[in-house]
Amino acid sequence: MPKISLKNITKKFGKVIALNDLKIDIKDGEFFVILGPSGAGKTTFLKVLAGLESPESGEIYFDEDLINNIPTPKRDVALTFENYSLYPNFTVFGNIASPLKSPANKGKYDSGKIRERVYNIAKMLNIDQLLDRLPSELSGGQKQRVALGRALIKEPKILLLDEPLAHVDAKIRNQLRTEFHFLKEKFKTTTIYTSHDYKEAISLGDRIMFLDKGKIQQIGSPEEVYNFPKNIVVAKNVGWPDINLFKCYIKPENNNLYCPEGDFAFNVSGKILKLLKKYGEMEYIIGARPHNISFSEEHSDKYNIEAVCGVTEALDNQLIINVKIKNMDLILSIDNPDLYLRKDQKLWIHFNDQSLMFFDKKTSKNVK
Amino acid sequence: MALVSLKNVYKYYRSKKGKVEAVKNLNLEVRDKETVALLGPSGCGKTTTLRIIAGIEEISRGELYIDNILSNNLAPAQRNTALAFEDYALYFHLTVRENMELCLRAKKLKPDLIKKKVKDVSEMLGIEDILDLRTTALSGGQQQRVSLARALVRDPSIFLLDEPISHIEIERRYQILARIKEINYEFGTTILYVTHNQAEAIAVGKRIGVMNFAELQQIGTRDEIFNNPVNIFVASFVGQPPINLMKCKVISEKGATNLKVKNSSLKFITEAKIGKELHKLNLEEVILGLRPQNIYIRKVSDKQKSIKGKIEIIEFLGEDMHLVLRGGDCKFSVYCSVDMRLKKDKELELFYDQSKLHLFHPKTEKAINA
Repeated sequence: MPKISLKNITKKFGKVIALNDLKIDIKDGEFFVILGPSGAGKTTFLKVLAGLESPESGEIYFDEDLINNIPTPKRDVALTFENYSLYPNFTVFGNIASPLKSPANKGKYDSGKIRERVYNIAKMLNIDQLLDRLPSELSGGQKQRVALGRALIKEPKILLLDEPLAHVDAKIRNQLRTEFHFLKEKFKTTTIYTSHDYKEAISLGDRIMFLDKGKIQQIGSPEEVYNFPKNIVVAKNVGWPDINLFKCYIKPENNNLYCPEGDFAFNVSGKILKLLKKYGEMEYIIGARPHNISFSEEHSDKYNIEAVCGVTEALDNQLIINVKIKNMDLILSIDNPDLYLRKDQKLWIHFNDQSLMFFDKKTSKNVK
Repeated sequence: MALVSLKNVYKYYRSKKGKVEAVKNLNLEVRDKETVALLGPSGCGKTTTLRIIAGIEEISRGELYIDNILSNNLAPAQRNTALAFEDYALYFHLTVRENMELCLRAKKLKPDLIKKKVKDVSEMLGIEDILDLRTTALSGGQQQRVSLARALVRDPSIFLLDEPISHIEIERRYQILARIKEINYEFGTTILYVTHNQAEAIAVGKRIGVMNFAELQQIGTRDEIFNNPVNIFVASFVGQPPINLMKCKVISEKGATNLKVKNSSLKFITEAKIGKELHKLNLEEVILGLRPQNIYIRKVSDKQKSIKGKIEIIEFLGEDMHLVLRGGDCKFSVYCSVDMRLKKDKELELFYDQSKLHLFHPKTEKAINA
């Protein structure tokens, strides 16, 4: 399995810059997830690696070999497409076997060998009972497995998966995501996987690259991306319900933070104050994850910011609470979906300063 | 006021192969000002039920009452319901605004009032800047919002919403759900909401009706459905990650009734009253259901019993973690808060409450309660 290095890769479509000066090293055997909204350049990135698009500038290396000019069949990569692109006239067996029968592999495998490999892969993906069916007779989840089987049968050095779970139902998606963990263990192939779902990304990825408008926003481990997003774009797109963002000023007279939208102030630890003062601005944007804001139904020294409860939503594992502090909307979430809160009842909020994020007002970069 | 009640309602379709039952002996009551979500897989009859209430499907047998008035033969226009279709059914030759205004104009409302209503609803759903576009120029998600807007603008006494947010971007879905709930709070409009997505059903419905194979399996609050499912279907259809289901042997040891999971070292201890019930039924085998959310990695109370498992998979999900563990041949999943000390292949002691063990009859798949 090779490592992949990209040096200053830029890809343009006319005036649109799809990939903007990307520098990445992907390790041997790594499961690397590219996360980003639609139009971020995720698919273009995979196509550049597969050789289906060529970059305007920059170099791609597999191990030490420059592969910019090596044609797709010789790169030893396998790509699955977002819309599966199965051959509609081939059965599942035919689809999975197709790479072994390609012109490039002509005569390499006899039919017994092909059958054996297809059965093995199909069994691993739990589609061995579907081998005689046509793609039109399969569900979305099953089609996805077939596409994956077709990619894996070549035992490629690099596996490129384009939004494999985007078009299956929520329930199947969760199930397949868990299954990917088992596959990951089994094959240990260098894999690049794109997704717009942050849960998928942080759950599966050894490392995650957040891409937005062709630019790398952050590369890091799941914990880093979730707990220490580099800027507001990453913070907003990783985590659900969306992170709460609101302005605050440092009040020099009593070293409080004051939030004008909700007209409230609160204490933060000396450590954080020092950090903010060192950074040098007086105004910041606070990022507070709904999970990390605590509240109480009783007023106390700790819980001293008054809020009014709005609509609540009980989900399987959490309760989402929309509250208002004066005119400022805030979303809270707790692990107990059975808690009963009345609409319009008073709640008292406490911001846990350890988990707050502070962003530069102008550059939107994380201050920490 | 709007109270809908269906009594022993059947709906048949005739096909070449014979009679197809789309809805079977349905008894359902949607109370005044209530939001009820009908949840089920495709083909379970939930949309047919909605269309029966709207009056665009006839009832084969049984009775439909709206506000205690027998309404089987009432024309759709007389029922004061607003229906949002899953496939939108927009007027493609009209603009978004015209689509929304149409039924208001038919009711001969004053132009000022129409304007105001269209403005309010379009702002609420975030479509105010596309009001003058033709609906053909819109994306699927936008079209669906227009379809919902056209229903919401009418203030009927009952909203019938068929998968109204299934094609809207995930990030916006819950905002729109919150708005739908606010409408219910503010105007007291009765809402019947059809979906195949359990998270949506739980979020929107005060009560949730779970349907399968043309029959209503269970109706109840989130708590009832989640904690007292009547059968395996309801237990496994509702809840994410899905409930752990394990085939167990019933074994009596020292006066206690234990459930030993097949091909596994896992053993669960039931409450005494459930044990008695199992003996009464003379069952050798049962199916045990235990939700991933009800297995804890730390002991919460002294009454909790424990099992052991080896960690196979750790899924870090930001706010929470999903673990897949193995005990013998049995894999089960656990949903817990983030704990960075957990490592793959680690042997773990896990805790559960006996009251959260759900038992099902292996043949009938119905819940066994003491």
